[in-house]
Amino acid sequence: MHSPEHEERCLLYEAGELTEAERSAFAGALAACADCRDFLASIEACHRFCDAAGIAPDAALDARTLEGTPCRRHLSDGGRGRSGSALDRAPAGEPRPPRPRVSPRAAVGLTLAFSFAAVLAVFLIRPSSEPKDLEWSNGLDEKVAAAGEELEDISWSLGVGADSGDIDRELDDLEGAARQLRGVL
Amino acid sequence: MKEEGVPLDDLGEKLVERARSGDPEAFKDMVRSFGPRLFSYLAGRLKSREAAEDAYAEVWMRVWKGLASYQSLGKFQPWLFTIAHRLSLDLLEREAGRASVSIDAAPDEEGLPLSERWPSGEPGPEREAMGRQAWEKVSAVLESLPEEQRQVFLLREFGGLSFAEIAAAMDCPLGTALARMRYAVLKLRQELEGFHA
Repeated sequence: MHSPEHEERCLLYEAGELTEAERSAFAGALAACADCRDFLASIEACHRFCDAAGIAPDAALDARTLEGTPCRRHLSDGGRGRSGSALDRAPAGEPRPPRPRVSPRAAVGLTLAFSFAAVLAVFLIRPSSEPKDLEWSNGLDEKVAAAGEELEDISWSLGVGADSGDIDRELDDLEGAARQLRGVL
Repeated sequence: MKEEGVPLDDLGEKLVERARSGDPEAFKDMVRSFGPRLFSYLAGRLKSREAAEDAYAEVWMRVWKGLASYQSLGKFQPWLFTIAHRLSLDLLEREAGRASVSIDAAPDEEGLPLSERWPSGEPGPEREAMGRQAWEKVSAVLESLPEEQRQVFLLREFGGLSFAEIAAAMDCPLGTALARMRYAVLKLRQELEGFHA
């Protein structure tokens, strides 16, 4: 007796989704049931009709799809982009070459190397003229300059050169002269 | 379904491998091979040309992103249409309550229904005209179906999914998917009696 279950069985039979045993059994039932054969014919008619029907996207839509929906990653990155695809960063139809992969250790090493080079460059590349304002020194440089001038003044007032080595030699001479005087006296 | 003598699922797998190996033409070929059925599916689901076009581009974008992690199990087409199915669900949920433009009902500026301006994708003017005519009929029937039956029908007829795959995609029992398809086939048969493709 024909039933909705038979028609559902027809769907599976036509789709090839029955096992061999089920298929053989159903084929026998099909031969005996005109309603089942009729429904099977309806399924096949739907296929033919839908194969003939359908609308295709126009060429402009396909071109747009291929050339540039927003993308973030290339296929080689595993498609881990936030959104979009790799399509828009590639020339039409041309996948971008995969980015070179760098291990974490190598990345750290490269970062340190670049940092060191940057610090070295700061020390090696000196400005041609002294900066006019040394606000960061809080006037310390002026105090140092003033102390230096004072020392120089003292040195000249003593009649010796600014060189501290000269002052030491003069003091030694004075001590020597003083010892001689004590010996005489 | 066959494309140039190659079963479509086999073709899909071949194209995925080519795309992964960096063949710049592979994705184009993929769009060309599967695009018409995908677009028909989306047009039938979303009932709006604009929505179908947007969804079409979005589906291919998701396919492109997912190719690297796609597992080659000979199931490219079901995978493709499952993506399309899920996206359609999201879009329909978003548009729930809004008036949508029917493919057949909305006239363009020249007064022609939209479906008459959509190419069938088949070569030749006669074939094209037949395709458009057939599409008009199919889409009219689809419009009359409840949403779940339309989903099953489109996934089966245009997506080529097995009933087991359809049940998985729709998160329903196999028997439910079969019942929905059965009703859809009966409805289409009733509407198409006397109409020969």
